[in-house]
Amino acid sequence: MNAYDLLDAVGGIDPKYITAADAPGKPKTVCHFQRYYLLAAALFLLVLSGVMVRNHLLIPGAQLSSDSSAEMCEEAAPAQVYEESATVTAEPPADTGSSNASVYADNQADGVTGSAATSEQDTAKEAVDAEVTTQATAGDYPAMLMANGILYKDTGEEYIGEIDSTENAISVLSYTDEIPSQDGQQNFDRTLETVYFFTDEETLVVYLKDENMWRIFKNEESFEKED
Amino acid sequence: MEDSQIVELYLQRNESAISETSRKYGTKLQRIANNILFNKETSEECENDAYLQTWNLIPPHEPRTYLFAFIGKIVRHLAIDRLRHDHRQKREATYCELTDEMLECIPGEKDVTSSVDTEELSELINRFLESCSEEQRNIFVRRYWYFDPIEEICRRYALPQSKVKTTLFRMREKLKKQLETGGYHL
Repeated sequence: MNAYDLLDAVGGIDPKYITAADAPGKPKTVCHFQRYYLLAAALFLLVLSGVMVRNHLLIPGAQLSSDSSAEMCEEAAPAQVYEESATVTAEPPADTGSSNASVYADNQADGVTGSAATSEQDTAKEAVDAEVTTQATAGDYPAMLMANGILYKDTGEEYIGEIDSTENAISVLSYTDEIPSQDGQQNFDRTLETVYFFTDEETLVVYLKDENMWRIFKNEESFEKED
Repeated sequence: MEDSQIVELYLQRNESAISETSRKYGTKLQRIANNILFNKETSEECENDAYLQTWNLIPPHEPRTYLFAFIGKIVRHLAIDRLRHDHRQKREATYCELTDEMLECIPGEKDVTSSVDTEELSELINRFLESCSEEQRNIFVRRYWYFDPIEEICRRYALPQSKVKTTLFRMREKLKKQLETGGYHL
């Protein structure tokens, strides 16, 4: 037997195989699907990279001037929220700083923080004129810090007392994107350069490097009492 | 016109049978011949010779359900014979490629002259094709019966070249084993 015999023998195969092989081939559906898969994958990667950029680059580490950050939040936050924030800070608080602080905390929860120039009642008018400064916070949580197992929240109030020395100040230990759950953990400073000290059991004074000011943080219980 | 009607015309010795066959299958038959001869005129001659042989073979044959396979087989043999005759000294590249591929299927020593029952061998190949999947079978038949080039098979079944080549290689290996078990060990 040689190759010619075999080739001749192939000529004598069953006609049903010849007819079957003569039928039109299947359409190129696989190739079309491949194109769609590629398109979907590219779209997914684009969305994923967009989310990553938004979460990790723009919001937490942004060191913007008050003007530019205000502009940014004006664009990012819904107009209604922004207006509410401005209105609340503009109204003179009924009880010294308390309602202002609670509303402020609510606003923080929405990702927008408004701060008046002062917390005192007689300076409320100045607060109306004060430029509404906004800052981006980490995720959807207000600025918080845990110390001695107690969670302290930012009141938005500046500490106006004198600070002699920062030698006794305590450094934060870690950063989280969520609500702090360990001592020394906070959710607003990735660089871990923040320091704080206690004024009493309910109050912490925290140095915010970005804003170059000392801010008052209070524990959750004191927020509830004020409510 | 249906195949059975065309065969009926052959049986009635009606010469319009040839024109009807040519109208229905002329292009395909010529393509089979051209796939191996690469010459349009010679392919046309093969096609016409095939009609003549068909005229002589019907009757006694009555291929009412497989007319194309019947004439295709004739034109295929005529094309191979013509190629062997015309290129006895100079081997045609395509034919050489095909025979080389077929040679891979033959177990043991190659080119050993021995009497082979072609019908028996065809039966063995039929059994082999039966054991293959439809896709493999179609690829094999398109390559070794229709003499389609690999590129044409890829276009027809929307498959990559590598897939077609691999399929053919594996089928040749499988056929080789089947020939061995069928007693074609030389």
